[in-house]
Amino acid sequence: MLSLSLFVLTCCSFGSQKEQSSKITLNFFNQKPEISTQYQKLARLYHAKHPNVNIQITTSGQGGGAAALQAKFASGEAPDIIMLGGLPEIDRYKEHLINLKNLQASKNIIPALVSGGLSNNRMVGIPVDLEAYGWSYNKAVFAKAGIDVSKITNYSEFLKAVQKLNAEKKQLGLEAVFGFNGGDTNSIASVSAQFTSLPYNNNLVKAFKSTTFSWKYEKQMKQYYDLIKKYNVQPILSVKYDPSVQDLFFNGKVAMIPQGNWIIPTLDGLEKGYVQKNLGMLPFFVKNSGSARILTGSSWYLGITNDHPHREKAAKDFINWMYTSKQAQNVIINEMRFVPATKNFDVSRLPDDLSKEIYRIGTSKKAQAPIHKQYPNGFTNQALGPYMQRYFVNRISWSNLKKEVSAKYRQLREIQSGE
Amino acid sequence: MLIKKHQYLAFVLPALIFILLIIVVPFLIGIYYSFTDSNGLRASFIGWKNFEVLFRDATFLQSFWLTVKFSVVAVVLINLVGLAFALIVTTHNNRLTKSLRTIFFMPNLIGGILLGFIWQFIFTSAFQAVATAFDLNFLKGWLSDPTTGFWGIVILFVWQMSGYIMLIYVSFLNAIPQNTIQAAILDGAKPTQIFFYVKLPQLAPAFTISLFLTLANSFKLYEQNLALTNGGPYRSTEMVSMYIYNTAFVNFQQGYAQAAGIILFLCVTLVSFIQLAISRKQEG
Repeated sequence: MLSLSLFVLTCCSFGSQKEQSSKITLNFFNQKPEISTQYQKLARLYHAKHPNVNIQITTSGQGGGAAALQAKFASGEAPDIIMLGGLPEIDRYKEHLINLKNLQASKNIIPALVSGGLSNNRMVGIPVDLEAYGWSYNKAVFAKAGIDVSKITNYSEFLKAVQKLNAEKKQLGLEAVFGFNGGDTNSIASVSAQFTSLPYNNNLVKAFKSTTFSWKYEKQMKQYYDLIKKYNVQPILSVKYDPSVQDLFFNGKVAMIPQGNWIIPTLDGLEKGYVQKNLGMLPFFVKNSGSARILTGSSWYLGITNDHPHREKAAKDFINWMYTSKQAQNVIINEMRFVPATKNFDVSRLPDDLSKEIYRIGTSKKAQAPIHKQYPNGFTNQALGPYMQRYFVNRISWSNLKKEVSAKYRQLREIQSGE
Repeated sequence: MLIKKHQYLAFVLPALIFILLIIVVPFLIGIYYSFTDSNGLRASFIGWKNFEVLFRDATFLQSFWLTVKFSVVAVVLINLVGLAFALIVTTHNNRLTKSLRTIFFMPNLIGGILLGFIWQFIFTSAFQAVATAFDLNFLKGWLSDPTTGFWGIVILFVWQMSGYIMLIYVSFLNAIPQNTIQAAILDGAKPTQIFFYVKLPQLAPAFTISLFLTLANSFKLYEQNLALTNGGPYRSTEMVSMYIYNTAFVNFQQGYAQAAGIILFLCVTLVSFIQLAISRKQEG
């Protein structure tokens, strides 16, 4: 009996060893649930071309992704390709990440985005896509109110437009001008980046190392938050992301929401062609120098781990294919509706005008990347978000908010870098 | 003795090994980690520092105090409602009371996360609709206010747990010897007198169990908290379990979170022991 079972065991282990040498299964950890089906499709397309490579996609997101990824590492099942959100997360896995500098895919990355994937000057992450941050506005509403968006080039023009929209709320069928989702700390963080990013001038590593929260553009920040507070759908803390996009914005009940191009698939999913017809983006006017632009950056970076050396090459090949082959790019731009994070991309291939505009801005010399993904772990939903929410409902003064946010920022940064 | 000692051991051992491996060992490792600055991947020993910082951490103390308040309110309400349910369904034995039993118990069959989302819909959309229809302003924005947010969680938890506690009371109510009640009726006792002087004293063991269950559960409350308010607005409804989870898996300060977990464990143990000791004394 014993010898029989031993025999079976040896057979098994022999069999699996043989399989390993010819067939490879790559584990890809994805933190963006909204595009998991498209990643599955990419995996299938790749498998059709490379029958000996299987790509197993694990998706976990919406707050639980970072913890799930850590659990993978702690249990000894480190994935081969991981999606990481910002330098704090990259830093946590820095010893597991390999240098991607010589990768074909890395050579074309838009320069302004490179520093978001650096760890000790090693390029360990490459951006997933190019995202734009600003106000998404409903073109139809603006047209109906007779506002010429191209004339809005500074804060006072913006303020005038807001006041006009507010005065004509009834005729325009608006519930309010803004549909700021005050219930979500993530949106609070990305809006704050409009005011905290400029001092770092695209140096995301510097933003990540900084032990102080930048209040350089505090005046403008307060101005905008007060404006939002005044002209937003109430109660502001009950407004959540999904309803703000799918109901308030889509149905024209608000004129603007503080979101970027990640709302494109949702809007076009509700009505084909909606984006091309109705969606435009306006920047925040922070410097008031006439050069204000929407911020462009990448929240997510892909990295390859060094935990399974025999699969490293296959992982690299897959990433190269995703970033360079036409077939993969078509899925990425037409189905994920991403704006690519690579330069020298033929802009006419992008399916809508807004995406084209974002690509042009993101690849221009004046491109400015937001830094909210470099805030310390937990800062967004445990300090900045809650204090800003208190400010929205007048439970804290601006000066106290500044004090608390600064203190918490420093405290979290010091704890997290002190290992 | 029918089984010999070594046979006895053979029966216990498998379970014992699993309990050791799955509960005791991780627990001991956890105690060790509460003295480190672990971020989940790297850890080094830092002594009592986590505990020192913890007792000065306003957010932790606030969430702990909130949990205590919540537990007191929830324990009282759940037991009152559960007992009331039990009395309703045991007065008569007909189809109505039987279906009521099912209805009262039903919420307990739904998971906490799902309940949270259902009630989130009720508190935001349904309350809002009623408020606008009848011009009742106090029903607006329940989950965006700290006080009503707190009561929202209480209502949800009471609704979920009462049916379960009802079952315990029902079984004890049914176990009360009928002759004691009949004797009281013959002596001319009113229904309220029967309840307070005949039924209630005999329910003492049921109180012990129910109090213990509700107390432990409300101290550990997490998923209802997560799904209903997620600690909002501005972390004002963040209970201690959620504080621990966020510190561990959002901030990645896992040693610190572990220390908070140890404190929670000590408190739950202490409170449970005190409660058990008092109830046992009264039962005796």
